[in-house]
Amino acid sequence: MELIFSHIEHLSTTAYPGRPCSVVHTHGCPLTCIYCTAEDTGAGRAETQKLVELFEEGKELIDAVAIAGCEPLKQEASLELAAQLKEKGFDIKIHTTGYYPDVLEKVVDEGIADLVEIEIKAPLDTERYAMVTGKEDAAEMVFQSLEVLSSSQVPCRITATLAPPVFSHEDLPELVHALACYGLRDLKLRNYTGGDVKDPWVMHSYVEAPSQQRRCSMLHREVIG
Amino acid sequence: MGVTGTRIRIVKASGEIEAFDPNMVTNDCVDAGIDFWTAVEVAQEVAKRIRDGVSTREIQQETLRVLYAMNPEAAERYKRYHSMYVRTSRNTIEAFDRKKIVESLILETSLPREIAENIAREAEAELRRLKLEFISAPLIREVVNVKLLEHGFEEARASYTRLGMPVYDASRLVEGEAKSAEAVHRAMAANVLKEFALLKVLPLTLADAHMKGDLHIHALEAFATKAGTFVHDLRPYLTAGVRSGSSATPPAEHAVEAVLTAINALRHGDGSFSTSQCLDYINVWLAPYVSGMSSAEIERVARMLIYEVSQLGNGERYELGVEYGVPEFLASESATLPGGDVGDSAYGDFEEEARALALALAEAFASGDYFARPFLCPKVYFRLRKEYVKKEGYDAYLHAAHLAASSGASHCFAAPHGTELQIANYSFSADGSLHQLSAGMLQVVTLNLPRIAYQSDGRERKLFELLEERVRLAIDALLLKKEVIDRRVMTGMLPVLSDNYSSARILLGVGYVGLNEMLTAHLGEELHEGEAAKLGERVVRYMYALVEQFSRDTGLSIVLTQAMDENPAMRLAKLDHGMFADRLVARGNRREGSVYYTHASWVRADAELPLHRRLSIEGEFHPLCRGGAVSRILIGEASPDVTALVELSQKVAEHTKLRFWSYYHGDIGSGCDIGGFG
Repeated sequence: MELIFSHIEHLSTTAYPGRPCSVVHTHGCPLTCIYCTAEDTGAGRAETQKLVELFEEGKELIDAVAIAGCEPLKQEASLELAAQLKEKGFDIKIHTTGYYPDVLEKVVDEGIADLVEIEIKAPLDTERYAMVTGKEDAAEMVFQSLEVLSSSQVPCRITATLAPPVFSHEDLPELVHALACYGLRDLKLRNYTGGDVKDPWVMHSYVEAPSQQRRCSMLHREVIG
Repeated sequence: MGVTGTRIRIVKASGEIEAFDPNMVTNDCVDAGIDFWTAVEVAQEVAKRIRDGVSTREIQQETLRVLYAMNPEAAERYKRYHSMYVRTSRNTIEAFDRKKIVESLILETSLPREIAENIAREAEAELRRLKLEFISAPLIREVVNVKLLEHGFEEARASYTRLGMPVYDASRLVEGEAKSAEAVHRAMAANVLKEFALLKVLPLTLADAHMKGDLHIHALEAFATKAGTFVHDLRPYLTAGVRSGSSATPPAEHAVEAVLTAINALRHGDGSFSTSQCLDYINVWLAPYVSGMSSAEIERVARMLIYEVSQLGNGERYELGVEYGVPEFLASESATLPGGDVGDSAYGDFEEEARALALALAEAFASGDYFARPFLCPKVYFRLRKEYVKKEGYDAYLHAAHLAASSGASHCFAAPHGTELQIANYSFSADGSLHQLSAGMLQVVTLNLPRIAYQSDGRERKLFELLEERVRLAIDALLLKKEVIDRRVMTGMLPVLSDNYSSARILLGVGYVGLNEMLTAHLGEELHEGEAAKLGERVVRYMYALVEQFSRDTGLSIVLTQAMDENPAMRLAKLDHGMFADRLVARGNRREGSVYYTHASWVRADAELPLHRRLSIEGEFHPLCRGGAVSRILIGEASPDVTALVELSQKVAEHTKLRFWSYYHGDIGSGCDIGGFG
């Protein structure tokens, strides 16, 4: 099966916690986040088997692969790639927006991921989530995905991108509460540094958000104990 | 007929004192066109009038007074003639004297006196024609040099010319281009010494090869004076103390004294080495001195060592080599103990101390300086060995070392393969003695590989012929350097090197730059594309075979090296930009002229290929470069995950042929890709 991707990041030290890994950035995303920085060129096309051979060649150095977006679960080939790599002994992370809970359930059921990361794009209320992502049902899909993960054994990590004013540290207590309801507490924060989010086409990078991260840990302690 | 001498002494403009000789007055008058008998008469009269301690200037004034009284017209002639003064290189102002030109020409150029006099006469005429009241010694030299060239004495001109730098360049340096006053002094001195090396030390073929850009002679300013790099074995200093010109220290008794001994070794080494100095196995040698200390005390010793080295010198490079504990090959070596005793203890007896010190050093580097800024100096070689994996605390040590390496410093990780012995970034077969682990690279000469491709027009045979020719040229330069250093060592000019010259492993390095661009120019494919890597390997293996052959022939250790110096990558590309613009394959911005070549046999930094392929290609060259080879691994994140880096390093050590590697993060393609993390 052919996978359409934008590019392959051959070495990342942060995409898979504590492991050097490669990242396949797949093509296509149902969301249109106002601060999106992804360069979704879709310039790469390859049979999943070819990609497996490529990663296998370098497995002695890198034996973890993150399949990330835009939105990897939009393509069936992502699952095939994950399954084939898993079979070859790779550790697999799926990095998703959470928009495809049904597909995520399949990932979980088939055991083709060792880690799933869901990226929360906005405060988890329907209206604000829709405003940021451009999809009315986006928040609902995320809730369903969180439900899938909470009832599975697959480790899960949540990433939230803070982009004030649409998503700021003031929204964190509510988010932490929501995640706690699903028994999820591995929340990683990052800041959108592109300045005014009204200019979504300005391409800028993200930085980790240590101060909010500390605050978030405190909230976790308050909420979950 | 002359006038006999008197006991009057004169004080010259230079401050020197000499007996007055009336013949001087006579000659001055004759030189000015006054007839001999009048001149004698004037001299006799002047001799009567002057007193002891008179200055040359006063004698001239007196002479003028006497002449005016006797013959006003002759006096005018005398005045005109002797009104040309010279600002001398001794910072004095003296009357112009042609004889000085004659004498200096004879002394400095070995020209016969007759020719020297002729040149001096013509130069004087030229200077007088300019009607300048004051002339400077450099101006005189410039005019004399023009006369030498007019008469075809090119070689004499090269000997007689001055060394220095344009006033414009000097002004820019002084007025802000240099970072410190010391840097101004160094830059100016370097300028003079570079010119000196090119004019007087290197034969024309080598000087031309450097200036045209066929090759690059590293640290040219030190070619005639200093060796390049040196790795100290601290043990002899710990046993006997450090001897400098003015004093000798006793053998270290305590850890603090041992650290100061190390610092003194580096400080004195600055006079002998131009590029860098390293203290390898530093925690092993210091281990006996921290025996019995608490962790906190050991941490203080580690911090002291780093702070002291970091504050040494003025931009010199210093390096440390750290092992996690005592490597097996040193475990049974007799240890130098506090007080300098070499007794029954072996370094293996101080395993725990060596480990504690290694951890303390790594943690201190990770913490940074007082303001938590990374230590950019010294750079560290953190060595990874399989035997360390089972040692307690290795993970914490590796974590601290990688945290240090990801914080902005360009620390290096090293993995010896098999039984090979590493001393800093040099690799040796393990058949040598372990009693002295010092090594030095006297000189590196780097070949311009892309130019060879431009000149061979796609003909492979020609490419290898030119390659051999350039390697021979580089080796000529290296052999010359060896002779130079032999002489400097003999005369005691390089005391620290002299102390170690017979025992240290002395290397001479042939470097290379732009294998990637050479292949692109020759094959149309980069090092990582198609079959180019195979030709790349043949090129480097051929160089390797040549230097090995020359090593056998000369009995010297000539090695290939990937010297970490960004100058050749930029200088040689720039020269090729001028000479081979139509064929140039270089990186950077051509329009702005900021072009550069890829370092040594690196794959282009921004080439899209998996890490394992990159390291596999570059790793093939590491075993061939016994004089040092390092690969750099690009990390996309500014704040990488240190645990992931540790895992990667362990895999690189186990599964690749890399001997040395470092990590970096940055805007690839914005420079020549040599530099640290950050």
